[in-house]
Amino acid sequence: MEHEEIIGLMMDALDGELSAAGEAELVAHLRARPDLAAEFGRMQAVDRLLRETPAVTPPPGFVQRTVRRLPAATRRHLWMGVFVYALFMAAGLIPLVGLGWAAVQLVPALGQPAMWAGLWQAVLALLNAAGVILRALVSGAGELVAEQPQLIGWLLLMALVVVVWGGVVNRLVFQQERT
Amino acid sequence: MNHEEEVWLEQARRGDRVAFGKLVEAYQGPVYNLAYRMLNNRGEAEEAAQEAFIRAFTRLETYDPSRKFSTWLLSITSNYCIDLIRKRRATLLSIDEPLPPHPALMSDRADGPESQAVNSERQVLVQQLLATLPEDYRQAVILRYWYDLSYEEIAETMDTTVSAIKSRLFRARRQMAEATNENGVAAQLQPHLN
Repeated sequence: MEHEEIIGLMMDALDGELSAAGEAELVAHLRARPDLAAEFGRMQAVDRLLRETPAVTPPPGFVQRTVRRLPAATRRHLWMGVFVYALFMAAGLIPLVGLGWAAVQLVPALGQPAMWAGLWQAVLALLNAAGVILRALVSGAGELVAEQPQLIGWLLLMALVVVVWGGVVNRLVFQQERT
Repeated sequence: MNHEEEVWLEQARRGDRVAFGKLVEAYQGPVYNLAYRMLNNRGEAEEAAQEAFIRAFTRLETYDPSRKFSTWLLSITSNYCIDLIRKRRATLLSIDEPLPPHPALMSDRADGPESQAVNSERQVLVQQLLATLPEDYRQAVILRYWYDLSYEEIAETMDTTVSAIKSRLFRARRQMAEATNENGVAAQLQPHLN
């Protein structure tokens, strides 16, 4: 018989749920294993001790002392909940109010052609500034390469090192993991 | 839970402390017994039982009426006791240390009307055996023996699976049997079983 089965039979016996067939099986097994029989005997003794030990009762005045300690805070919690809810509502309303105010301020201005012309000029000025910055960067890099041609060589060397090192790592680490 | 208790529960949910007091009166025994069995100390047991009721009162809105109220309450109590035991262990009062062998040396055995029963040799013996168990095994044993909960109910209370409970109970029973053998408890056990 498997060890798990014996454990199951012993548990059933202690829980008073052992069938007649199970009991016969367990008895036969315990006869063959005196060490296990002794252990099961001790388990039964502990089981009986626990079953026959009554629950302890709380000391007198326990209820009064407990009730005295109960927080009278249920109503306060309710008010706190309402307050926090209102706070969150207000927090959500603040940006909406801000947007509404901005819209009210802008709507009359949007109706004027000068406003659109001004906006268009601002966009053009921004694009112009971005173009100037980009040109400066490209021409600066070109001048640098022209003055320092060895820079290209260094960049190529670094790329080579990265590729070779990547291959080494791949061979040493990842392929080893796969095996 | 009978109809009267359901009414008290409903009133307590609305913040009625008197109604909750009636629930405390109805469930004080199981809650205190569980705390005492877990903590092995009357003072701490009272404190823990009170705290469990306070937690239950403040969390009544989370109680699911489809569950047994007693199971929910015992779950709060045992979880609180386990927290206490862990804190106690952190402050070097390990529960894994063997308890003093003689009842007279057991700590916190105050004289009182109920202390006679608590002080009995059988109670001490039981507490000695329970103290040999890790807290989760002890919790399962207490719920099984003093509350007659099924494996399913214990699993629900301890938020685990039935197979885990079966395994813990078997190991706990075996560990206690071993303790009776090692600590000479078997000799003390014998008179209580005849």
